[in-house]
Amino acid sequence: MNTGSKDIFPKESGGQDHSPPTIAGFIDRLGKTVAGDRFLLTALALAIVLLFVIALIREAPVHSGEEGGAVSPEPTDQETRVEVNDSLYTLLAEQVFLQGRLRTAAGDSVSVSIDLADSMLILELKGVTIHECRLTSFRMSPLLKRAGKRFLLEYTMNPFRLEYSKSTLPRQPIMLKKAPRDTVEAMQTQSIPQLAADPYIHYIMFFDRFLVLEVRELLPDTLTRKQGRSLSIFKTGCFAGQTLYSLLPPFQPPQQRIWITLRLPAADAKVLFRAIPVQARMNLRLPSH
Amino acid sequence: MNRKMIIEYYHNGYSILVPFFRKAGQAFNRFIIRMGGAISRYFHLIRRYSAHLRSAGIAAGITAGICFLWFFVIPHVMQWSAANVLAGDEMAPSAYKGKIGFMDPEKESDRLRKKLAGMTPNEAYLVVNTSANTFRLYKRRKLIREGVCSTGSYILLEAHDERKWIFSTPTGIRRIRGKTQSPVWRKPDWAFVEEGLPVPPPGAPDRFEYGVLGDYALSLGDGYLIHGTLYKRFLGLPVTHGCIRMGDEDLEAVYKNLQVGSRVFIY
Repeated sequence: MNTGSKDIFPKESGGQDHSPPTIAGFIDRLGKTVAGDRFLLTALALAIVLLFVIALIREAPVHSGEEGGAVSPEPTDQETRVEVNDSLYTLLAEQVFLQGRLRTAAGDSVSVSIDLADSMLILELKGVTIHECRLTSFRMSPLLKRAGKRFLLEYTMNPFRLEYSKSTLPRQPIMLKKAPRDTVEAMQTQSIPQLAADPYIHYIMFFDRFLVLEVRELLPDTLTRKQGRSLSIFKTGCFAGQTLYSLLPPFQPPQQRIWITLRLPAADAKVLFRAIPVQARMNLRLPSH
Repeated sequence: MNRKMIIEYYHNGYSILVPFFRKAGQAFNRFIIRMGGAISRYFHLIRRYSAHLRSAGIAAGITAGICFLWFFVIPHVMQWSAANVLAGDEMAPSAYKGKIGFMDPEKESDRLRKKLAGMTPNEAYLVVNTSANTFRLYKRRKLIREGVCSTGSYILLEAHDERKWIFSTPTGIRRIRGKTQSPVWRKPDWAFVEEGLPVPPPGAPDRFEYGVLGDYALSLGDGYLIHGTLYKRFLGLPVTHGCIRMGDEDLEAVYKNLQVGSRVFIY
């Protein structure tokens, strides 16, 4: 009894298809196969992303500190070269730091000098130290830890200029007050001044030459470690905004930021943020590694 | 608990506890059954939406992976690769002529340090911190007095006739313009507006108030003064209309040491 071969071996499940092969048919079958295997789809997507990232890294420009007037001349063979060891670097870095402070002293506004070698932060106005504090701790970008001493000296040779900043603290804590209509209303509003409690102080300052300075106050007793960690969302948000902007065409890889994170007592962190002007200048002295 | 139970308790101590354990056991069983039902419903939902959940999981995984690469891997790889490119401790002194002194760096640093120190005035000067509401008085480059003061409150006062005043202490360098003993306060318009009083004409007797500024006042220009206060409990707080208020003894020290032309650094 012939039951019919097409019931037992349907064309789709292994039966011979005599129709001529077409590109559309191939794509359709490939699509069905791939869609059936989600693992393959995921692996494919990840591979594409990985290739894309590798391409970006290969194309990423290497910042050499030429912006902001820092010199980066290549010595010719005839010139004498000096090997900068740790002791010579310490002296040269101090010299460069002092030169920068003298240069910013010529301006009329408050400037910041951060001496990471001595863990000091100095606020100056016309060359006069108006505030000084010790850094509780600091962290640096891998680039600053690994780059050569020549780069470190050239990078810090000229003062940095603040471009913009983001902070959990308002620069001026302005409070609006409506004038009372008469003396009775004025008497009612007169009381002991109510001062707003400061939030957890955390700010990020973006300087020229790709330098990012992040300042946080020491975690107060009122906040737990977990709460302190959750505040990192602020930092991520700052960087995410920039990254999303870079995703817009023309597409660019994330900028090569050189960051320094400082931990300061709350009072000093507040003073630093409130004292410096919008386009503040900053001198930096990096430790030898 | 009845009499019989109490007798049983004294007869056989633990028997009284049995009903309680039984009840607790029943409650626990009921709890487990309810939880089991909830869990089975949850698994049912998972089974029902498994395809969607898997897709969402894959999408979330890919997104997390991209974020991890974008925020962490790429910047670090770029920095490490850049650091390798920028490695090198050799410098050609001739290329840095006039910028870095290689010949005698120690001597050069000393010279610069002296030059910078020379910018600090030798005569008395005052440094006011408006964030912490503190002051420091220096003379011959040495700290001679420090303490609390009061500075601007940052209140923005809005009058009904649309006039506005902001009560902040100006920052930067100021010089002492004048010194007065037993100063008299000539009340500006905002002092009347703030009290809900009608503003009198200039020169009206109501404008002058005696004894409210302490024993001394030092003028910083533009109507800003360093003066005393009747409200000593507010020292250390930002409560003023822009002036710098001090306690009596601190004000006296400042008055005696600062001369007309002395610098006041406010930040």
